[in-house]
Amino acid sequence: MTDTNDTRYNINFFRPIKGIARDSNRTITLFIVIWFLAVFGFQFLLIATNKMTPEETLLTFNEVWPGIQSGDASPAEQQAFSKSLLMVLGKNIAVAEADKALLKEALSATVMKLTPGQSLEPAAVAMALELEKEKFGQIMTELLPHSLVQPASAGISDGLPAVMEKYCTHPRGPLTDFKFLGFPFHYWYTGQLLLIIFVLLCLAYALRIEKLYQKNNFIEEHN
Amino acid sequence: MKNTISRLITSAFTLLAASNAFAAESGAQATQLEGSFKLIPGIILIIILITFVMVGIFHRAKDTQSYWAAGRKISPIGSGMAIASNWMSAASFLGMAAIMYGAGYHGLSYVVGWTGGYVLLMVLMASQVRRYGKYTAADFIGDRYYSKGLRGVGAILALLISLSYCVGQFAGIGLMFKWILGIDYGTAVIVGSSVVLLYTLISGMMGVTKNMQIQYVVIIVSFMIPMFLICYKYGYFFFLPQVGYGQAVTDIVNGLPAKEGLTNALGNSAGILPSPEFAMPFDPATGQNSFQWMAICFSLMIGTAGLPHVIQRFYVVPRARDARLSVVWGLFFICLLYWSAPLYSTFGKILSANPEVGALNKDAIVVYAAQLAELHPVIVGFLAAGAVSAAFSTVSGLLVAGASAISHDLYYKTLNPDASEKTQMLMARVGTILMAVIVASIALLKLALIAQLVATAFSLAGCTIFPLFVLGIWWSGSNRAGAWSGVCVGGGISLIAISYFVASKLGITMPLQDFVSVYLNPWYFAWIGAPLAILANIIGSLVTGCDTPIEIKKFLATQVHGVKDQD
Repeated sequence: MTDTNDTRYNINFFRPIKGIARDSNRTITLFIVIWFLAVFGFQFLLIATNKMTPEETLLTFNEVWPGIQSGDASPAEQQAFSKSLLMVLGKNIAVAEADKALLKEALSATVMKLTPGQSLEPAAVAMALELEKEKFGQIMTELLPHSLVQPASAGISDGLPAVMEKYCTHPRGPLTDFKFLGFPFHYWYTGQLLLIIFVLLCLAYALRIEKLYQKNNFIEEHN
Repeated sequence: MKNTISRLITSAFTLLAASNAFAAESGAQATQLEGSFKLIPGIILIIILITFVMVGIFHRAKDTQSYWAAGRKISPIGSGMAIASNWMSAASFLGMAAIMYGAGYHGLSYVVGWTGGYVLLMVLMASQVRRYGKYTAADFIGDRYYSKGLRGVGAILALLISLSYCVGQFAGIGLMFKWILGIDYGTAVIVGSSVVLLYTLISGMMGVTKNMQIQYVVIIVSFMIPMFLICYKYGYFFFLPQVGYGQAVTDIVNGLPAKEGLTNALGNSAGILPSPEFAMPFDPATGQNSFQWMAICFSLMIGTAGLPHVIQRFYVVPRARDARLSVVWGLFFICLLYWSAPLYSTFGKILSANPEVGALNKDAIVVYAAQLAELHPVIVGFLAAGAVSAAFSTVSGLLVAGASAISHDLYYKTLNPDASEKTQMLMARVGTILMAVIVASIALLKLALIAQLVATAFSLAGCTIFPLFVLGIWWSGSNRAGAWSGVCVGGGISLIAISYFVASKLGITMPLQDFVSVYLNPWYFAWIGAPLAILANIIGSLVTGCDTPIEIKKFLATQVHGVKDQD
């Protein structure tokens, strides 16, 4: 194995030898660029077009929080506050256990003030919160038995706004709000269209390279 | 023999019918997600496993060529099915839905990463590797870099990647055996490992390839049937569930009020409060960010193009053209499942929204979703058996790849070139047993979610094998010294990432722990490891003078890249 300086057979993707190698490399470069833009280009576009958007629950919470914190909240504000906490507890597995504990404490401490005899009985709480009037009333009612705890104190943690903001603010934009086939568009693009693009890219490459080999009379060896 | 099989199948179906009748007579059983022996799923699993073993026996390997490369007799569609079956492991069947169930859109990085890598594989490697004409990844590395030492390193890396990949599969097998048999996880891993080991020892790759085609059908059918039923039951477009579940995703984002009569198996409303974090990209509520999404995606993609057992599948097709077509077919077959997997996490999310369901093992959410939708036990059992098939098909392929590395690359090519065929076969079988024992032992530790365990194997492949292949094929200047530099850097980064992970599991805090856990995370350390390994390979080659022998350059140019011979 000598004569390592012979350059006739040097292979370099970025400096291909003329003929089939150059054509083949151009095809490969084109497919890699399409592939890269399709996958990562779209994610960068999402980052550029999205902005942190609060849920309605958070807006309600922020509205009533000063009153709750100062202890001057009206029963209606306490009701709205409790429902906003329940809405977050309903996210269930998305919520960390420590945050759940904080939310349950605050919820229980507040609803006790709204029920006759400071009851934590789910049915009484549901009635006090007038959940039957809510769009998600039944789900919230079903949540109550798992959300009420005997509060350790009557006070409510100052950490609550941070917890609410964490779970109720989401990156949203035109690509996430536009619906396609029922999906949020970005979800459909990433979960379904990208996969279709991959299959098509592979098929197109197989056909194109086949044609290229035929044109150049390149016979692939049968090893 | 045919009579025996037909008697076997008849008896199995009779038993199944009897058990079904028993289940019906005993009335509506209280739904028990875990902890009890499930008769019908158990019978279905036994039938499927017996079928696999029988197929393995009828198509057993007769010599080393059959064992390693299935005699190169497989058609592109057959090979595509085998690629898909080999690929669709417990991580695809169970793991992806698990990640999406817990982290929403973040989980789609696994879906994209595990499919997008095939485009890289297709354009950069499939036909080139086939035209190079070697049996194993280590063969290629040893030959291309004219180094026995690198062949050995290639074999060891293939072995480590196979081991790491297998851990997630054995965890999946254990989980499903636990669910079906109602036994503890440890016993389930041992039972499942023994069965898959027995089957692989009997059949080798010839049996494996035949079996993979059957396993693909089992996997895809078992995965699809429940989707139609779930969409139908809960009022979504069920003719094409992959489209129908889109509305369910939007319902999770906007909230889905309770509807009368629509409940999960525990009687809770099949509704959910607004949970945009499930679908919104890089949502802080999931604890994941855009960097992690892209790092995982990129690592899985280049890992796909560097996995020895995937590359090895291109040796079993007769021609390079077939290698390309088998990628197209393989990816299409894979996508059939990948388009569908998010459906289970979506319905799993809705049906387990009530805290009464309790904290579910995320890795089993596919089966739980079907259970919570109160599908017939036969359907749920078939689904669980499909999960076992997915893990089996991958594990058997991996054990063969690992055994090849031990017997062919390490023993025959490196240690004892005079070894007879019989001795090589013996070594392959001893290697298979050793691997199974090691993997089962690690799987017992339950280190992480299935998809995450498997992702580690991808990063390892991306940092080590991928640079060797991509530079080996596309730059004749890459030489032995460069290859060693690349392997040292890629291997070093892998070692750091995995050591930090193991240390954190043992409760040991290492210096820069927070930095490493984010930027060299065990699930995606290849995002930086692979580029650095490529850079090291290039620098090492340039510094030592690009001394690749002319015979190798000529072979690369004329045989692999189609340059006209100028002699």
